[in-house]
Amino acid sequence: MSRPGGGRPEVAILLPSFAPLDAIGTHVVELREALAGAGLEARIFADEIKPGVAAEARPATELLNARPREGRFLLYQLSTNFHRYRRLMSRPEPLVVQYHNITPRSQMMGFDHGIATAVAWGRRQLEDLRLRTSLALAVSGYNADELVAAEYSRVAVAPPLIRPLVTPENSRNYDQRVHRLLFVGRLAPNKAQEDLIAALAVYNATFAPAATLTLVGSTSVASYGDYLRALAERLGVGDAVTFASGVSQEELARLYSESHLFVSASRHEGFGFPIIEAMRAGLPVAAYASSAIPETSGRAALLTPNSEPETLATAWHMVLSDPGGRRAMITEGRRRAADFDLEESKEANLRALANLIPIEGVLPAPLYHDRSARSGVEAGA
Amino acid sequence: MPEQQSTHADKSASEEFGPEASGDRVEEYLEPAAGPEPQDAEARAYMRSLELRIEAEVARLRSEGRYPPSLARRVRTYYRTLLPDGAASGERDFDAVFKTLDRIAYMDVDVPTASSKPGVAFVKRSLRTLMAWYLNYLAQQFNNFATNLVHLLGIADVRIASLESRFDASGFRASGLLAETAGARAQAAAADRVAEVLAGTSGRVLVSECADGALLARLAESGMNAYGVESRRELLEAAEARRLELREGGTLEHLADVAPASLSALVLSGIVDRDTVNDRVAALAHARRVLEENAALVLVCAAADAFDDPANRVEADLSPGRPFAPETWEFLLSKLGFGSITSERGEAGAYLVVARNARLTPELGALADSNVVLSALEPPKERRR
Repeated sequence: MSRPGGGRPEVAILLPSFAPLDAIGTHVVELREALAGAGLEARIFADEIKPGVAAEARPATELLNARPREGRFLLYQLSTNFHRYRRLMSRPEPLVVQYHNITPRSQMMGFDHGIATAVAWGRRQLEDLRLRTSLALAVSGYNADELVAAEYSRVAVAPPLIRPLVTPENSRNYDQRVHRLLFVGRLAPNKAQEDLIAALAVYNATFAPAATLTLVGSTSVASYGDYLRALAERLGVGDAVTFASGVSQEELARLYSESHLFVSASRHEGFGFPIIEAMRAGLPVAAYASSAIPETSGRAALLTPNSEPETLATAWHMVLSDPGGRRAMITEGRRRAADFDLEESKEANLRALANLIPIEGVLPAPLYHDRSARSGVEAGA
Repeated sequence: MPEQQSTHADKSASEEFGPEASGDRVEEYLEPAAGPEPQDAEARAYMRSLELRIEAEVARLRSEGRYPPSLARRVRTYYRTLLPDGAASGERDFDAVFKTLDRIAYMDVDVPTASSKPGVAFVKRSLRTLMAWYLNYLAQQFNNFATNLVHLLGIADVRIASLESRFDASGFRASGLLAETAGARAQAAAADRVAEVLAGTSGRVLVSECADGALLARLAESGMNAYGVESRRELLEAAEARRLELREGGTLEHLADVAPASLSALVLSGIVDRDTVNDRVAALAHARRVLEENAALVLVCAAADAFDDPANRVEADLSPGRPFAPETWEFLLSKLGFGSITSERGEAGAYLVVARNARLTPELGALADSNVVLSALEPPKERRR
């Protein structure tokens, strides 16, 4: 696709931090491939580039200091605060914000004021960026509602790009007395791993004395990690809880494959990547129905109305004590996970982006929210 | 670049990047943020069906004694003890305001510099560059202050909640130390009669305070779907041994969390003998709300002169109130709109008062004007966890 005076359109994908295995890192790499496949020039720029992906991205300053170029679109991945966001706002190129959600500060309170302040800044940037944004993409309806509440004028929903894990041969054995429970998500207060630990104490005291809980995720708030470990010890389940960080993709796939139930008590999720990964791996899901989790899991998970220990333990027991129900959940889970097929999700992202970026052969997806259209109707246009 | 121009055609640069980019939204911050809700009726119905399934299973497991209150207490004690003050997982009375403060208490150090006037943007950028060290210094102090202030309010909330619980029915009561009470004795003696009065009740029945569970066990034996609430651990453990469905807590605290019109019968004991008049009236008002229409309210009361008995001397001294005469209960119940009110003597002067929950009308009589009654009739606050 050529453009008058500018060659083919270029999409500069910008994010504050680019890491090889995290959800957004994976998403942008796949998005770049999708854009390139559609004939666009796509590159990744990041403020912080973690080891292992240096060849994949360029420094954000290179983009932010570059001379404006006709035909270039900025695609900013909003998931936390970005020190250079004013520079981003001052760029003349059309801006697309793809919103992955930012944890509210109050969720971090009590554990780490530095992180609490940082996410508050991120939320503030979310509010300000709407003035400069031509099109906003949300990875869920839940996130889209936040964008609409922040008065973004044009909002489209497109799913995150979740790369399939190479799952080993299924090694679950339900006859074993040990029930292996799994949660994947960084150790941060909004993920509420303490509710899982409390529920494990109740579950083990009531149903399965040998149930174990593996918490996979890096420690983003150190004092919270200390609290979780102390709680597990005091509740007598210290030996039953495993904290695993820095696991490889192969190891993560093995954990999904060997566990009996994916559990979540998270209070704030903009989407919930691991739920889809678990469903793909044939792992049933029991989760507290907070934020975007009901939307992500559809009807394939057992959702609890609260995260009280007895409620979570009961839900776990309902799944693990009912082989027929569990099989049905696994089937439904695989069906739900198929809704987030990588290639179809890429097409959905391209269709959403086509509301602003001309992509040959791609028709724009309907917008989730279009204030200008609504104003027109209200004005009788 | 036609696309770029068209995207901003309706705003001047100063409108887009000026200080009002942050400031003009302050008013909107004061609007409470809306919580998430499933989008369509079908999704809501699905969520509700899951809720009911899980709640029914939890109730069944409780009634089988598989979730003894002592286990829940142990888990919650450690949970709360280890959690830092002000952490977000506790309940909050002032959540909406707290969220608003959380959103606005931040000073943006990166001052906007764009301008529609020629050269002004350059001047602004130059000034910002020159002033950056100073602005950073100020902003860091303010932001640290703001974060600590929000934290402090979180701690204050915990303290206020603690005070609230101390002064409402869920908190400490000197009489809560007592295992042997006139009401508990009256309850055990009245077990057969209460079972007779409530015979044929098919829905949920609550016995609060259930003491050692004698009456509750009798109702369960009769095939009723009954559960008990008790705050005294010694008694709770005795009731636990009978393998009954139990909750730990005070009467008012528990009733505040019960959904409207969800009980087919309510048996009140303890609070009716020794709590303040306000608390007793609040309990009746809660009963109006949580009972189905025409459902039975049974008050198991000690004799009006029970506190003159030397056997009840300690309870009398530690209690803020005294047992009422049956006539007083009849008066209060009629004023609150209950119907079919009867009272009958039991053993040792103890008595039962039975009333039916008539249809709720706007006119609740003189007592409906009382703040106590009105606040008790409000729906329970949404629980955060």
